[in-house]
Amino acid sequence: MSEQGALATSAITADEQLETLPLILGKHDNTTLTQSLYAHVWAKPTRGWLMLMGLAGIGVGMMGLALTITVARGIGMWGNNIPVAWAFGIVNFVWWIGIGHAGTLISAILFLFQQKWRTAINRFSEAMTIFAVMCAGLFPLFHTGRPWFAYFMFPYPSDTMMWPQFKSPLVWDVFAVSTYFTVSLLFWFLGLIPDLAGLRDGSKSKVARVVYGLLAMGWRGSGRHWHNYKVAYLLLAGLSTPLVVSVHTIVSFDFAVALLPGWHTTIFPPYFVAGAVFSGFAMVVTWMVPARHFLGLKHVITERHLENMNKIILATGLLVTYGYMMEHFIAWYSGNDLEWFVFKNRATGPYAPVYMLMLFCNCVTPNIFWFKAARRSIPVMWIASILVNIGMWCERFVIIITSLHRDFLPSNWIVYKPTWVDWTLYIGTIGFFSFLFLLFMKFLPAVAVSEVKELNHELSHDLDGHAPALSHGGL
Amino acid sequence: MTPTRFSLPVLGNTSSTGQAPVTTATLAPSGGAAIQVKGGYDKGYWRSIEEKITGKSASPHADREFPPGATEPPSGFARREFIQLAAASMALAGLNACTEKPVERVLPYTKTPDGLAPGIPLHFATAYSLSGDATGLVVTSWEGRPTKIEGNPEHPASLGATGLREQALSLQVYDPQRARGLKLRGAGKAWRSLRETLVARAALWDMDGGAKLRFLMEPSNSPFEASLRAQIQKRFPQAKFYGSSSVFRDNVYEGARLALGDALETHHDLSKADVIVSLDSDFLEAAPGKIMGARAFAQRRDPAAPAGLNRLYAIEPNLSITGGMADHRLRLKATEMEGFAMALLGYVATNAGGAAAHLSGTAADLARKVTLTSEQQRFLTAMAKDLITHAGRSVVVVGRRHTPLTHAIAHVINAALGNAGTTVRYTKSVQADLMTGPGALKPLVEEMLAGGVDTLLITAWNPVYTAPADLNFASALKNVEHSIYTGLYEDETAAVASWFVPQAHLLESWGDARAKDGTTSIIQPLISPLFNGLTQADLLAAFLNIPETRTYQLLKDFHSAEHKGLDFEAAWETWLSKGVIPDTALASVSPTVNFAAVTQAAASVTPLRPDSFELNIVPDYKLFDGRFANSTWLQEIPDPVTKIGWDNPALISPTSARELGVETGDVVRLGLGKAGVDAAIFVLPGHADKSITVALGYGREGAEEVAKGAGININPLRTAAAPWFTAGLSVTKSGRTFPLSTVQHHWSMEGRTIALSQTLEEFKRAPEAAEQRRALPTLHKPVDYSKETYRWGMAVDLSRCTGCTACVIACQAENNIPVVGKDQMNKGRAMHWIRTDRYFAGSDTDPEMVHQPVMCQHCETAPCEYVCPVAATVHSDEGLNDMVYNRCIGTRYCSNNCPYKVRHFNYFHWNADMTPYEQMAMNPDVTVRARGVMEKCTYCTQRIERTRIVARIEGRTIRETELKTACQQVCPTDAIVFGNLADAQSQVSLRHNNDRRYDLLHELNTRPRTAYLTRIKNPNPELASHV
Repeated sequence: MSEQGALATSAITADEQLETLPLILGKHDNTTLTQSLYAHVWAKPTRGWLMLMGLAGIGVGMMGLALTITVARGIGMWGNNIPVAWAFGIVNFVWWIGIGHAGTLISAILFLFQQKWRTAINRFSEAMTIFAVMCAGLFPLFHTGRPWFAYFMFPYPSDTMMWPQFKSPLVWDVFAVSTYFTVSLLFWFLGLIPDLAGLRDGSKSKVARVVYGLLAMGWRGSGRHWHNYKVAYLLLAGLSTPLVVSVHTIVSFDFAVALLPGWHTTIFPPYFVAGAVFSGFAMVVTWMVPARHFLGLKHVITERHLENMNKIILATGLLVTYGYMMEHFIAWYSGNDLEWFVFKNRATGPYAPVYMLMLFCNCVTPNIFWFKAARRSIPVMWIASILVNIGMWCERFVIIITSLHRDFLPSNWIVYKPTWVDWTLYIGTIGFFSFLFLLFMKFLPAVAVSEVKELNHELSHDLDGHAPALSHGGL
Repeated sequence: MTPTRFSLPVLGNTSSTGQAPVTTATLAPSGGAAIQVKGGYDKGYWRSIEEKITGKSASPHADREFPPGATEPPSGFARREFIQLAAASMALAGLNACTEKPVERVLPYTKTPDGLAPGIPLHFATAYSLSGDATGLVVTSWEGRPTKIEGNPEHPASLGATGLREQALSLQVYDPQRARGLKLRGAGKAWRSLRETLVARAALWDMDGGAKLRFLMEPSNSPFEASLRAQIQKRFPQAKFYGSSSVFRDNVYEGARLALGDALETHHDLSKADVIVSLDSDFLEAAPGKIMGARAFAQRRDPAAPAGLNRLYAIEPNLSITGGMADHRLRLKATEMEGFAMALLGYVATNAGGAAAHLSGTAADLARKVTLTSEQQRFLTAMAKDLITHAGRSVVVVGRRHTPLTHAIAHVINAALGNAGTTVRYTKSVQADLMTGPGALKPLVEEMLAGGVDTLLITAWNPVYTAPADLNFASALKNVEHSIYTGLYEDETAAVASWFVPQAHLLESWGDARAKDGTTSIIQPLISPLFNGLTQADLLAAFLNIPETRTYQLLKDFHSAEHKGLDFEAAWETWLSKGVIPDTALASVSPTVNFAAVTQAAASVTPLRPDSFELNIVPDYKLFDGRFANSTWLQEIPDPVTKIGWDNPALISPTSARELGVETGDVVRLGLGKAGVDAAIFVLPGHADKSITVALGYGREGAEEVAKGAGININPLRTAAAPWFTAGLSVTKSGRTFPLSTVQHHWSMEGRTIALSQTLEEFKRAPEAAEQRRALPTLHKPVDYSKETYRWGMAVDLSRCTGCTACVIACQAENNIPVVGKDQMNKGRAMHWIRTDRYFAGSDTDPEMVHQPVMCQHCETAPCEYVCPVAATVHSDEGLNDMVYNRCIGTRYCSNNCPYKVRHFNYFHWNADMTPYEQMAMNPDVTVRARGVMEKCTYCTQRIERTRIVARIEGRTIRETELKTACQQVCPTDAIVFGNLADAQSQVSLRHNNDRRYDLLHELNTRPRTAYLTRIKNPNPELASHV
């Protein structure tokens, strides 16, 4: 036994003395885990799932309707105007992008930090990332006046010799979001390969075998496969890590680079990233609480996982609160009247209710997680996580709309009102997100089976007093 | 006969209610006679004996072929009807050649005329008369298609500028809803049939001298029409001519008659006036000769003016453009104006000495009759002292709505102060009919009701709509057997008159017009009548049995006779090209002022001081009396003061609104006697208390689709006795609200330095105050423009800007700016590239109003440029911030980052539904923008390029005088100046180096190329605390 191993052993022992809740409930072996974790894929669709799919399908229909109307009639069907030229579209874009942050953070950063509790939830949250980024991507595309020319934003060779204008943060956005999406998708898919092979091997119909077989890309579980897999996984984790920070930083540049009071501030990048992680974890909790119940995953997604996530929600919530405080302080301290006006207007202007709701949801709500009982209470965390997502949506609304609607020249001031198309599209994307998520939970294992088995292996060795085998990411 | 059961498609009429306007009239029963059974070859068959005797049918369904319950005829487009119509259309298409057309037809060229090159616009001079007030115009024409209207610099009433409405003429001529055919009781007729009727009736008039022949004329200053009228009068001596106008000037002439013994025209030379007192005269915007007045006034608002700054006192009920420019403004109910004038006369006569000294006794008596509040007394004393100090260099101006006595008092004061001959001069009037108000209309209506009129030609605009309610003109008109109405649209009067004749638009007409000062212009057409319209002169000629094809020759003959001994053809060509006939201005007359008559008249008057609410009716800044109600441009231009479009709210002071418990948007019932009108409240700071102002011209019910549903009609509350204002108005809350549409939702500058205003004192003390608000030092190296031949820049002088918004519509006409409609306008989607921001400062009862035109500032470090992801907005070497429409994908980021918010987004395809007619109004030099792109002010880049071509061919640089932006060209007060900053001597450079110059939002260091000059106010130190 190497010295390193001994240290690790003692760390684990220390951990266990502190931690009261196990990562895997009960005693399992590979067979029981395989059975229980693949069970929801093989099970016949339940009535509950079908009903939810129906609801989500309505949502997809709403999204289709809203997008069709937008393209057919013009962006005027939305409520935005001059001066509030960005409104629901960009609010929803930033909100969805923020939600998409938990996945990569869990999979990549926690992986690099060798956090064992990420194992059971990474698949789930990565899927969420991908679907959220898909929803997010819709908005900047369709909010343009002429979406059919949106490709002008890409640097492609053409006889006009025109490239994008690289000084614009919107171009940075295009690169940041598309890179993030690509890497997240690759990362997710790579992690899925062993499980897809498992599905292929366990499938009873030919169609399933062919489809899963194609997706499994010939995975046979050989040592060489596992070796390459681990290396690729680590590389992608390394690649994803800066993206977690960069995407929302660049999204925040859309605002910080502009000269508008309320946007033009240097605190935005860290504050946006904290907010994104905050909302991302909240969304994971919102979905995971019912999912672990209905998919029978309570033994691998335990209260310890949930509690850890709640701790992160608390930490990022406090960061966000700090961000708000600094923003207001600097607005006052800078002596810039226009800047200070924006913050006073947020609290007292026509959108004060949204602002107050934001403060309650983002600054007050997470503090409940100071209490252990609350951190472990399923109803409390579920409600709190929903409130946090409402709060983060309000935050984007407050940043974008209250800054724009009363800007430099009072003659331009206006009160923005969203239209039914705005709401339909927003609700529609929630439906679209749910639709994809429900499909995911039906056709793919919601938990990374191979990783959980490995973890189980590690944990059982630990319990037996043996040294851990090659730990996940412990290359 | 045209089948009337289904609507005919009307070009461009997409929002038709399913029934084309042309057919509605025929559906109405034709009066009280026996109900005609359909299908009976137009004879009055009767069905039952009751019907024959009583004229009423026993059965309520007698107008149907079958009794109720029997088979109903299928409604809609039956197959048979369709085939019938198709066959009839084919047959009628062949008949087209049979209609009578003028011989002079505009034909396509087989050989290009001299001087015409495709793609090079030509310019033609003409003149436009609005209710008798003529302005010279120069019209831009592209291969025979007029598109843009400018003022004629040679014309004294234009000086190269125009007002709002003249700009809208180029859209009006192409309005697809203009009337298209001559009609007799709704049925299409040929022009010949009307002429035949007139010839037949002329034989009768020859016998009785035209005893039952009457003419109700639009106010006319045309010498040619006057000659036709004289000929008609000569042939039919018993015939009578009446003039009618909703916005009449009877009181002006009656006041002159009272004070001067003759109905003379009064001219004010504001360039010589140091002190101006306006008794509710909106002389900057709503008086004849307004451009001349505004120009002269504005020249004296510049502290650098050699004669010094003038001082304007305005006393008015409603906050007007003129009131907004005033150094001191007193809110006074319209009904109290006469008393105020008497008090002013009293003070001046007692203290001025000189010519009025002998009046002091009587005048003091007059003054004693008037009770003024202490604030009013203080204002009056200070103002009167100022007038007296500047005797001979001051002027008192009275608005046309006020009583003859008020006008007469002004004449007396002006005479007493020795202003007559310096700031005031008198001439004969050029009007054919001096009296055009209800007083003139009343005898005609009485004749009509008494059956004394069998033929009535109406060229006055829409008297059924405009005539005071108590005259009941519509029912009187039904009593006239042959009423002939001519108008551009089938409006309310067209629906009642028996004959309707489509009128030729100004741009389709020959004629002549005389400005207020007498200068005569020839009106020449720019396009062949699009809808076979006829001019007023054509119609008058028809009464003399002269075919309309001869009116052009008659016009020439008339002027040839007027100018004997000239090489007439050559002179005619010169007049046409110059737009004015030289030396036609009227000579001044020097009447003696009858002081005694005025004081006597005043002695018998008890000044009013009503406690009740008063109704105050004003002509609209945009629609005038309603004749422009179908102009989308004018409907959407926000009112200069209220910033409301598409409506005429009831304006009320904040204090009165609080008393009544109403706020903007609440609907109230305005009641006057039995009549009542529902109106939406708009709380206007600076309005007189206990007074409600409503503009004329809205609530139209004619066939014009645009005009329908916009605003309310206030004419039902107008009476012949009190056509403008009256006390005793009842205001009742209805509990309902109405959505008003505005482009500016916020009034206050919030303490920010935006539209800067200083008093003369402050400016003299610290002239560099504004200078500090210029470009700031920067770490970045600014782009070096010093080597450029041209550095385009603009300067806006807030001291001169009255806020008339003519620049907004000129820009709209020049740059093909679309109209978005009432709802979209309120949503902040109006497209005007230049806007006039209106701010109020001070208390909401007596605010200071300042206007600030804001267009793209063409920042040298433009915030919009660096955020555009596709480089669709970029900077030119000459400093223009260019917009590349086909590159724009519409992220709207540029708008978010524009601190001035001067960028406008095509939220919909605003131009998608343009009819072929409306397309003709577009400027071919400017792209018509599609959906989804940003657009904004370009400094009229198309004009720069046109001028550059000319200059390059001649191998020289562009001269300052040959290049003007549309907003600059139209500006009556020269508030906007554009030019080359590289030329140190250009006007724009001088203004950029002016002490008053500042940059808007300079702290952002956007380095705008548009500079503003602070507004300078010249308050009277005695009233200083009033400011």
